[in-house]
Amino acid sequence: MIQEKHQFAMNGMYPSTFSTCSREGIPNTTVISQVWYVDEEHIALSFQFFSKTRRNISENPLGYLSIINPMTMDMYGLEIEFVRSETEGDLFDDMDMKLQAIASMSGMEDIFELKAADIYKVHHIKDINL
Amino acid sequence: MIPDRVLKVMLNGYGHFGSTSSNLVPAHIDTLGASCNPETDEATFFIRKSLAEKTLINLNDNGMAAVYLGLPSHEAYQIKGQFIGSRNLTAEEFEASSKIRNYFIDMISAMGLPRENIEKLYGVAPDIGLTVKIKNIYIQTPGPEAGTKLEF
Repeated sequence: MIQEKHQFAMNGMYPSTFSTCSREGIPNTTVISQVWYVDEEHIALSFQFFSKTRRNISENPLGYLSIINPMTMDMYGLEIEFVRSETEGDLFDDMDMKLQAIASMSGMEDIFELKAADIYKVHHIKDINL
Repeated sequence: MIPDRVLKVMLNGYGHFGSTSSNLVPAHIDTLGASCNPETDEATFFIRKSLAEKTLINLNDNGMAAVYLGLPSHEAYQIKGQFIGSRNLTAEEFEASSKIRNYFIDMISAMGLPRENIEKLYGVAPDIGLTVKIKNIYIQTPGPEAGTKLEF
């Protein structure tokens, strides 16, 4: 499912966009700094804040993510579903380290803090023809 | 009356227009500029219709809209509202979109990314506007105020 071309769009150089909705169907759209490749069927997103996104995912696990390869500007749309959170382990440590680097580059060291690595199953990926 | 600081980001920043299907599957599309009538709390977001198939189906189904508005400085707001309708853009709106898109092409290419590829994203003009009656606005700038509802 997730191919090499998609992984180039997960390197953190270009922000991704993530949409969720509440159980009443009210949408919420936000920008996230990085998407992590876990395996060919799963990605991880950083859980940093107790946000509307996190509340929505607890009510309705379905989300839509768009990612962009920064060099080609090819865009992909991913239909995803929340599976579980991890608060320790290699993936969590890797995400924490990278997040601190991103925070440092953007002057957000005191704001960004990784609470968990949220794992999502990827159901479908679509090439978006710009 | 929409606060000035939100208007500034709406009219000068980038945006993502979110919607939801009747079976709770979300979707979004990039916006390429916006116009606003602060007196009526209505805003029109410029998009490319060819990329908006799901968004339009969702909006015509339930009308619920959320728009992320952001600046490169990280200042950001979330608008929640009710979709009113879609319409053609005016000459002024095309001009406003062109200004914003050229700004982002220049800014991103200055970071070393290939200009001809950035133009795939920002070089194509929008062709329709999605108008939303704004009901709520939330601060979405990362930090202690994130999630705070703005009164207006």
